[in-house]
Amino acid sequence: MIRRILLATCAASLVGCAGASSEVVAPGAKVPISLSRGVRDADGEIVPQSRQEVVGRFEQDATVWAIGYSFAKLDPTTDISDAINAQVARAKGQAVVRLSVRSKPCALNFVEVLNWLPFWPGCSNLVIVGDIIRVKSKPPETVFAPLPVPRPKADAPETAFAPLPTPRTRAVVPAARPESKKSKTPVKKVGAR
Amino acid sequence: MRLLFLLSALSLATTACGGSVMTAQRTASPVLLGPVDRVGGHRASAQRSGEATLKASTEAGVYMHAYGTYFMASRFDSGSTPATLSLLDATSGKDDCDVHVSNLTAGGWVLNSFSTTWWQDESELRAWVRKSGQ
Repeated sequence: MIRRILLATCAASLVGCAGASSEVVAPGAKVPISLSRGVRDADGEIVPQSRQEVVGRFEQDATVWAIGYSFAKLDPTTDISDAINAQVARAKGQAVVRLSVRSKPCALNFVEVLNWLPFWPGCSNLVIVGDIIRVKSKPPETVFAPLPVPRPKADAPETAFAPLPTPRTRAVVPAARPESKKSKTPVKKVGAR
Repeated sequence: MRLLFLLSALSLATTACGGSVMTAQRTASPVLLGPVDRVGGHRASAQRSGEATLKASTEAGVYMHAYGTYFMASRFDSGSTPATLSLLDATSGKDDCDVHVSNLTAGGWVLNSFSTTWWQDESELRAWVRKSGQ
């Protein structure tokens, strides 16, 4: 029983490890590469989405390797400069935006027993994608020209402005009081017979 | 031997999907990988305003196999959100800053014993910030 436990403990302590990682660089890129959606034009202004025309898709795969339980990197850096320059030139683009770097597990890392060995190679798949864009020219700014003002000719006689006729005011006639009605009936004199 | 075959098959199934992603698509500021910072080939000066280190986009998982039963559990972190949030913090959400990547490392590793396999894929980005126009 003790022997079995010891054997199981020894087996459980046998730990394998494999893997790889790499630094993605682009020191020789001739165009701006942005991991975000933002990029600046030649004037230093952020190019809005409306001026970004996607003309292609940048894609680059790489498998990086390491040995010695992933400590000894066989591919310490992954340079994508040449791929960027070539694919951007092919698409006639001017920049790469929305770049993403995906690392995917490699099947070799999962092989048990063999990855106990220090010289068993580990690997990792890197998938680097992005949008190749061309920057549209700025739309012409709308300039509101002032309306033409007629200029008087130099030799034109001065225009005599006639005085405006004064408006006649209607005299307000007070309303005539209604005359007291004279009784046309004969006045009956009292006492007259 | 059967166990080895089964584990290898499981690992192949695992590798078919997953992985970590490093991107910053929601950030308004340019997050520049190369030396060119403008369309047309302008190269930025090396004057730095601040520095930020981001560690994001980690996918990790573990499956345990004991007594002939396999359990599998995975943890997926959203791809761009942590990096984007950190970058937004680094640039204060403004677009007058350029973020220059000084180190972008991606990779993964597997650690396993008889009973457990642990794998992790991660990306790490170190960057420095420069005010636009400097």
